[in-house]
Amino acid sequence: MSAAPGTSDAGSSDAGRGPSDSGAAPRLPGAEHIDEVRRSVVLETTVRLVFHTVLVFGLYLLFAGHNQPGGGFVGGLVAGCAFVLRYIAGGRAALQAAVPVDPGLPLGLGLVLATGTGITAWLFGGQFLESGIRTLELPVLGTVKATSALAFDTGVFLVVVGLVLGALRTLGAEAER
Amino acid sequence: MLALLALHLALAFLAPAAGARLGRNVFLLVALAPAVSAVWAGAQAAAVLDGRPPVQTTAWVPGLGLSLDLRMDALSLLMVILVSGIGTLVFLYCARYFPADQAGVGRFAGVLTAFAGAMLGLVLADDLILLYVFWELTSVTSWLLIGFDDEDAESRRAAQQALLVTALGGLTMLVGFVLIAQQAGTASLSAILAEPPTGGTVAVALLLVLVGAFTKSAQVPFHPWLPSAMAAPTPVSAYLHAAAMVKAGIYLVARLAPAFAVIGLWRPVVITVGLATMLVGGWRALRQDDLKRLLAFGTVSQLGFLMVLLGAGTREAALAGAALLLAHGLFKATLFLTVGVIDHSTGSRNLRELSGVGRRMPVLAVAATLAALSMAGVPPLLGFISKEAAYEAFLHGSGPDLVVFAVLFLGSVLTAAYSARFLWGAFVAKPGVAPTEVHTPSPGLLAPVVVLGAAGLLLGLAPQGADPLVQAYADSYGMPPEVEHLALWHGLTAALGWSALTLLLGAALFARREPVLSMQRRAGRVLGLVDAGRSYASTLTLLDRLALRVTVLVQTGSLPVYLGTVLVTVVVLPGSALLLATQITGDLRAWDRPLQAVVAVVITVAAVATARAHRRFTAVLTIGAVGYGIAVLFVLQGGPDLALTQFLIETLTLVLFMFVLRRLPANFTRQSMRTGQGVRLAISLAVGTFVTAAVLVSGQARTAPPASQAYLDQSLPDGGGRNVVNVVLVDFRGFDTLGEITVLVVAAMGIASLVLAGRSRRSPRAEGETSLTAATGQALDEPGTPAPERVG
Repeated sequence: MSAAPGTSDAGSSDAGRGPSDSGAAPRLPGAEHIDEVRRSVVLETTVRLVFHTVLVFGLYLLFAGHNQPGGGFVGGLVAGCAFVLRYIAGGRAALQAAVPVDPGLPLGLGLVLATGTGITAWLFGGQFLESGIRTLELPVLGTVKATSALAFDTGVFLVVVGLVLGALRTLGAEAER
Repeated sequence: MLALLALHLALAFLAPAAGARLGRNVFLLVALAPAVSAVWAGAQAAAVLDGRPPVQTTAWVPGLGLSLDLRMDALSLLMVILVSGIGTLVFLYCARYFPADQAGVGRFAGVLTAFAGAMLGLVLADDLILLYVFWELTSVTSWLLIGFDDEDAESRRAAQQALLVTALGGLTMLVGFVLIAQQAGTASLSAILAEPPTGGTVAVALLLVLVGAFTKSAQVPFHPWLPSAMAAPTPVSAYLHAAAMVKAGIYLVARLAPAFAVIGLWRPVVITVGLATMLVGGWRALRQDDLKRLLAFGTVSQLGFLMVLLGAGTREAALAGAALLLAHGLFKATLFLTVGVIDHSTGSRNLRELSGVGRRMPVLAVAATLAALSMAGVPPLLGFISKEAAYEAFLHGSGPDLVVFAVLFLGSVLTAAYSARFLWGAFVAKPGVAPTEVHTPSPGLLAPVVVLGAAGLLLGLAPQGADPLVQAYADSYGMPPEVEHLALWHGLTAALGWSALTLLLGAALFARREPVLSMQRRAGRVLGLVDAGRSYASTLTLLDRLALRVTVLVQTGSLPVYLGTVLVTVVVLPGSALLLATQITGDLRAWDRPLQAVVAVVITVAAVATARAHRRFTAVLTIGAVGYGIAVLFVLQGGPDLALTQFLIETLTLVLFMFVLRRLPANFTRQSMRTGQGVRLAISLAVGTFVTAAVLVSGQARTAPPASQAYLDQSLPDGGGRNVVNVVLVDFRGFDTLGEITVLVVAAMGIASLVLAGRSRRSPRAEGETSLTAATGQALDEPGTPAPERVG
């Protein structure tokens, strides 16, 4: 989920809007759709700085959640907040540039992942959603305990992120009109 | 037997796909299901007549005591012959009836097969609940079949009428079934019939069951759905409305009558309704110009006849009824299929337009004539034999029996007359009407008609073929000393004389058809006041109005009223229980740490500020403060997970609130602040008190050891995690979480559709934007299109 520049970057500097100064100061991709007077350099730069940190923190909470405070739900909310920041600073174009997918994708993917984890337990002869625990030796990370609950939690994470994205897009779009 | 039902189901699911490839020949494939059933039933016939009915029991929902009990005795066998035997022929007929390029033929074949399966299950079911399930399945599938032509408003209306009427009856019947099963202590049909429960409850239950039977079998006053249902394709009429579905009510009455005819009002109700139906149907049939409607009213009339015979509860009447059941299935299906052929070959089924069709289609004319004569009761056809038996059953009784006989006689005269009208209308060359253009039907279309028509003749000439089956059913009334067999010739009996008189009067009624018609019209003006079809329509209108009234009353559209209703309910119901049941005891601490008190004060201040805020923005901020305050309390209690979640949710809520606030006025209106302030204050205080008390009481109401200790103990070994909260979420209560995230997904879709639907109503420009993507602004993806501006 990198902040890849939106596809619309090139053709966006048409008449009626000031020329984009993205060359001078690196600012939020997609934010050039906003009227120049309404943009805030400070906000955009700050968001550019913290966006990835917040996102990574959300992922950290997801992975750490099984043993420390956190989990898929909280992690998803934190990641969602990262997108909220992005939206506040750059409008929905900036959000679109950051996540060029339909919110339906994480929503559906998350639900499929969570349900799939439950069904996989069936395939291994367990109860629906019964946890499986494996201890793996990985080259760099050392001994890692992998639980099927992590897959389930990732599903939860994705659903929450999808919900936040969906709410931002629908309600945000409604507010921008 | 279960395998047969499964075969129907499998073919029904297969049919839509097969239909795309095979076209109308898909019917040849799905005809396999009824054909196999019919062959199987034939193979079992010897055992059934011997008194060894095949029985099959499969557990279904053991927890509820439900099982798939199937059983085929003589009556079921008779019905299987109708359902699957005639069914097979109708399926074959379908394969040539529809045009080769008919759209949706696979779907139709699938539904028809599903119907055949449901009907088969209905007549085989040996359990009241199972019977009810199949009963409703036939209602639903017939709704789909009648409404096959779903672009035609008339079809849809007819389908809806059939569904509403039969489903209403079905539900009433279910209540009756439940009452009977309660009284009997079992839902098994054969067990109930072996030891029928008695008493007032059963008498009432039987009346409820009869409502179901009456609606399904189109008895007065529920009959109008059947003529309306003629909007269906003709094979559907032949199958559902002659052989199968409308016989379900008759079957139920025939099934219950041996045990229950003597209880309560059964006999008077069944006989009165049946006789009324017979007369109304015959009378209306006599004035129809549409051949199909003529047959439909004729069917109504015959169903009334069957209802009387099979519901009367005597062995003789039941014998006649069973014979008529078979005869009617044969001749009415033939006649419906005949109308289908005529419609197919001439493009009309109006008997005023048709002329000289008989000469152009002699084979069809002969088959139809056999069937119509059987319907009229002319020897040597099966219809004659069954009517003789019916006359015989009532002719020798006392006063009430003779009244019944008189009405049956009158009904049969009408039947003879409309049979003649049908033949005349369909086939005879009429003076002054140009001979109808006919294109010759294919032999595949004619064959089923001929087979059905010939069967009526064969069984008439050799009634020994049907006799054992009919006797076996009649034996459920006990064995009489002297068995009356079905026969073509009983000697010169009184019944024979009445039969001759019936035909004579029927012929006379037909000969003077024009004066009769004008008399009917005059009478119709008077009788029109009690038109059952119109009362159906006005009932629906009444229902609509009532629904509207209730909706207006309950759904005011005012958010404060909704919220108030919910809160008052909370206070009144659980609140009063709380007051009655418990009192607060034990030691109560004001706080664990003083900091909690400080936070509580902050929360309270923020809450009061929210209530007093004039600006919406202020209210959102202060309510956010309440939320953060609660999160701090969680931290103080040592719940980092909860606190973290609460903080994040609060933050997101704030942001989303901002979006919404941009579209709302900055201030609350003065009016909305003032109205009902006292009431609102009272409700708020009551809810607050209730919640506080509930928390205090429920905290002390523990009777079992807390579950949390087990969670703490099991978290690491079972869930593989040290964070109990998370392990509970993803493992111990994982199923709950799965449900919750499903709710989240639904909520996301709900937000999108609510917002977008509201938008497209406001600006038609945005129409069609209905998906989640819609709001992402597709303009961004198209270079050159100006991006939507931000409007402050």
